[in-house]
Parts: sequence; structure tokens; C-alpha cells
Amino acid sequence: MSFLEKTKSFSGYDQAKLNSLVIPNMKNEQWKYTNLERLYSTPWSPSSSQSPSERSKIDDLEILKINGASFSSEETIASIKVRKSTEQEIEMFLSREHFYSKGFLSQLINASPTLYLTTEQVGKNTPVEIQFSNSSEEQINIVLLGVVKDKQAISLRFTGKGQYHVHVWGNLKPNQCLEHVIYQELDHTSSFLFESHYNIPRDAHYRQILVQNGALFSRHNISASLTGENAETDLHGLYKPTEKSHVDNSAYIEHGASHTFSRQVYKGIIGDEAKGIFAGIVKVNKDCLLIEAEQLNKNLLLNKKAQAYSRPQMEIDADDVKCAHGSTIGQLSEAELFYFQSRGIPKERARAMLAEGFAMDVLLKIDNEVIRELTIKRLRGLC
Amino acid sequence: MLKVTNLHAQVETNPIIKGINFEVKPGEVHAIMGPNGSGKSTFSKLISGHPDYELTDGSIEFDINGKMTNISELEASDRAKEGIFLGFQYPVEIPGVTNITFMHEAFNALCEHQGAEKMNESDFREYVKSKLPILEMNEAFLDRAVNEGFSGGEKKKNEILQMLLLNPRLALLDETDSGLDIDALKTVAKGVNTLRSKYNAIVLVTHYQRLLDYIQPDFVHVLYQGQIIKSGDKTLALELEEKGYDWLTAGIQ
Ligand SMILES: Nc1ncnc2c1ncn2[C@@H]1O[C@H](COP(=O)(O)OP(=O)(O)O)[C@@H](O)[C@H]1O
Ligand SMILES: [Mg+2]
Repeated sequence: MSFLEKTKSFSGYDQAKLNSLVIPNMKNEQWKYTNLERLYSTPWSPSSSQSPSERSKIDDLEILKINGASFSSEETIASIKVRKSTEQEIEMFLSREHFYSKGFLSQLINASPTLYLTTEQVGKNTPVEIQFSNSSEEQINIVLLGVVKDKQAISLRFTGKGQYHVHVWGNLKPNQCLEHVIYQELDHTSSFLFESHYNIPRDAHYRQILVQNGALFSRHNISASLTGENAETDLHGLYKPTEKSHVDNSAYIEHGASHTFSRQVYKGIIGDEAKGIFAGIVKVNKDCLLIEAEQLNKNLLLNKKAQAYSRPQMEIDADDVKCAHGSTIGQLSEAELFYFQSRGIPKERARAMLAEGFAMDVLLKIDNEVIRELTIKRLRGLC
Repeated sequence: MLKVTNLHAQVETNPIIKGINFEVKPGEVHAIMGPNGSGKSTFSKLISGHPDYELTDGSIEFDINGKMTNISELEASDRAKEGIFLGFQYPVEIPGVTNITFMHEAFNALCEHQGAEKMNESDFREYVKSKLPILEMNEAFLDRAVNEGFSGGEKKKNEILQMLLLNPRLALLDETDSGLDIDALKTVAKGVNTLRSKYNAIVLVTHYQRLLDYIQPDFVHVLYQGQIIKSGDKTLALELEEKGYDWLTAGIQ
């Protein structure tokens, strides 16, 4: 029995529902800025890469590089075991309500070969990086499930080219803390469709810092459910589209328990004729007390033809809520530029330093020091 | 080292500077005084190359490698590298860029221009630390974002610190005394006097004579409605302190 057939026997698997899902179009409110149909008008061939994984190390960070969609069976790097997901894990993923309600990748994942990987913390928290790389214009489907023991930081890096469909998904257990730093630097012909969802129970903390520094077309659906007291999430992002590229971020956070916290800072540095979009919803359910939620989106336009759209929203059905939300769209300030120039720093360098200063705010939110320093270096083009 | 001749300048179509002649030689300290809105800040920004102001007539010449050169077409950053420093009336805050990074960048841009070797991060930090006591600043300021959350006095000290690090030949200090209490004023004046030498020149822009008790000028000029209407020595400042500006500006419209 093929894997595809087998998935159909999973409890909770709903073929009819899956068939009813269509690729969203711009008439859908959530998708009004992003035309996916354009992307799917030409067929993509699935990845055929057979290259084995490679290991390397930068500074104190151990790196596992996965080429294309091929993965042997199991690798252990630093404190992480990377293995093919078990049937049980896949079943849990495919039968979740969320997969059908919001997942636009579902069909694709269901129809093409998909690499199901689980990262399982087996030791004490030492940071690791998993790098996904692809060298041809192919389609790659990846589902990445995270199993944490207590606290773990993982850098996920996407390089090369192709059409990536990525799901990052998991259920934390009480008291667990997981940090994902996602760095996308695909080439300028690529597309990157990314969904992540985490359930965060009592005393658990999920952190995600998403840096998008490439691809022609990218869309991110990010969601988190805070389901128990003291649950926390930090979801931050930096996007730097250039030329004619398009980045669309859509975030949804649900506060489903009292005394829960969410923080989001998304910053866009938009150059050339690029377009950056942020739409976020923070929902606070009825009867939840002592909620703190922050949602900010700031955009820097580097060019007259660059565009930004921003829509932070709060849906609050409770009383005892401390919320801050807002958005800004602006250009580099002439006064700031002149200050640099008056000190002998040329205008182009001043622009770069100001943009970097704007970005630094997001990068400094990376909790793990090794990954933070490396990410800053990468963004500066130093490695 | 600086020669301004018949300078006229405007913003959009508004004439602001209306025929200024002004000359500075190495070693001199000049004070430019005048009521608010006279054009003092505009004049100092023009010399340092602010892009908002359009020069409509006249010239600005500066000594470059021993030769008086018209600099009115030169970018602000190039003028700075030739040794012109502007201390701002309102220094801007730069979130996300630390003070030390900013100063290091400026310092190395200057080194590069002068053909000297660039300084590495740790040597530069030591160099900056050696200047901090003059301004009674502590090291923590270096790792904060440029001017972010600094008090008025701290911002002005930070300007003077930058001046001392870059050691300009010509320092234009715009209202460096405004918003300072008497202790901060003395500290800032001490910093400015440290720069004073027979090679450097200083132009103090101020509308109070208070600062001039601590930094003695060689010449005092009164700027009013875009023109220098009177020049004299330091006794002119005392006269202005006593009588105000009205006796000079009364006949002018
Ligand atoms: N960027 C500008 N745009 C429009 N008007 C300006 C600008 N800069 C200065 N001015 C005007 O020029 C005049 C002189 O201003 P300023 O040079 O700041 O005077 P001061 O420093 O002597 O107080 C004022 O009337 C001011 O409003
Ligand atoms: Mg002024």
C-alpha cells in the first residue's frame, strides 16, 4: 500500500473536505494582496534529488544540510535527533482541524511526495541548524514536526532555489520551550510557501523569529494557540524583499486561557519595486483574564516604487486585556541621513546602517546567543 | 581657512540667507549671535552641506590641501572628511545603531580619506574611553543607541565627544549651550576648549552670551534676517547681553 493510500485510512482524515479545498484566490479577504493562481498556472515537477545529507559547523553551531527532498533515515546532531516522522505523528498532523480549515498547502502536500521529518530533542539544549537546500527549480514539500524535552533552539535555513512548501507544526507540553529561527535566503526565482502552527499549553513558550531575505514570492501563515495558563508566544519577523519580489505575512494568535502572553514585531525593509504585506489577528476568547498582547508592524520603504500594506487587528471578547498594536510605513528620515553624512559617512553607507539598525530590533529578539550572532552576521553578509 | 562671499540661499522659494560675507582663519574663535529665526542654523547647515538649502548666489570656499577651494558642490560627507564638523542644535536619535558603532564608522571613514590605517574595534573603544572623562561621560553611553533617550545635556556632550574624536579643522557648534544647566555648560565648554589650537577654528552659534564666559571668542557677529549686521570683538557680546538686540535691529526691515 502506498503511503498516499495509507493516509486515507487515518482516523480523522477527510477526503471530501480535502477535495473541497481550493487554492485561495484574491477574492478571499485573507488573500487579497497575493495571487497564488499565478504561481500554480505552470506545473512544477517534484524534487528528484538523491544527494545525501551533509554535516558542517560554524562557530559553535552544528549544521545538518538536507539536499532536496531526500533523507536517509536518521541523523543525530548536537542535542537533536532528526528522523523520519512516525506514522502516528503524521496521522496526528493530517487529521488536525487546522489542516483543513486554513491549510492551503494541504492539497499539494497530499498529492505530491512529502518529506516528513521530526526533530526530537535528545540531549541538553545545544543549538543546531537544519539547512534545506535545493539546486534546481523543483517542488519540495516538507513537514517538520518538533518534539521537545525541555528547552531547545533550532535554526532552520532555506537556501538554493525551487518551490518550497513548508509546514512547521507541533504541540508543546507544559513547561517546554522551543525557539525556531527561520532564515529564508532562496534565490530570486524561487517561491516559499510556509505555514506554522503551534499549540502552547500551560507554562510553555514557543518562539519564532522568521527572517526572509530572498525568494521572488513568499507567503507565510503563522498561527499559535495559547491554551493554558502562563502560556507565552513570541512571533517576530523581518522581511527584506527587493527587486520585484512579494512577501505576504499572515498571523493569527488565539488567547484561549487566562494569563497568557503574545508578542509580535514584524518589520519590513522594502526596496526597489517589491511589495511587503502584514495582516495579523490577535483573538482573545471570552472570559480570559490578565491577557497581554502586543502586535506591531513597521515598514521602511527604500524606494518610491516599493509598497507596503499593513493590517494589525485585535478581536477581543474579554475585559481584562492589556494590548498594544499598531503599524507604521515610512521612509528613511532625511534628518537621520544628514546626521550620518555630517560625520563623514557617505549617503549609501548611511542608508545601509539605518536599515540595519531598523532590522536589529527584530534580530535581538532571538533568544539563543549562538544563533542570534550568526543570524546577524548572515544578514550583514559576513558569512 | 573658510571664506564665505556674498552668500545667498533659499528653501524652496524662500530666501533665508541674504548676502553673507564671513572669513575664518586657523586658530580663531568666532561667535555668531542673533535673535531666533535669523538664519544662524541655516548658515551653519549651508557650510556643512545640508541638501535642503539651495545656494542662489555667492560662494563657500574652504582650504583643502593648502588651496582655497569652492566646496558648494561637495556632498556633506566629503566636507566632513575635509574637516568641517557640525554640532547640531537638535541632535537626532538613531534607534538600532549604537553610539560606538556610529563613531567608529565616522572615524574610519576619515582615516580612509586621509590614507591612514583604519582602527579596529577594541583600539577604537580605548581611544574613545580616553576622551570620556573630559566630558564627564561614562562608558555605558557608548553601547546605547545614538542619542536615544539621552537628556538634552547628554546629547550635547555626545556632540562634543564626536567632535573631539574627529578632531575637525573647523567646528561649527549650533546652540551647543541651549538646554544645559551651569555644570553641564562648564563641562561642554571644557570639551570645546580642548579642541582649541592654532590649527583649529571654532564657530559658536548662540543667542546667549553665557557660553562666551567659558569660551572666549576672538570675534562676535550679529546675524539678523539673513545678514551679518554687525561685527566686533568679545565686548560686543557683553553689549548685547546688556542692551538686547533691539538697538541694532530697530532700523532694519
Ligand atoms: N527647512 C526649512 N524649511 C522652511 N523654512 C526654513 C527651513 N529652515 C529654516 N527655515 C526658516 O528660515 C528662518 C531661519 O531659521 P534658522 O536658520 O533655524 O534660524 P535660527 O537658527 O537663527 O533660529 C526661519 O524663518 C525658519 O523658519
Ligand atoms: Mg537655530
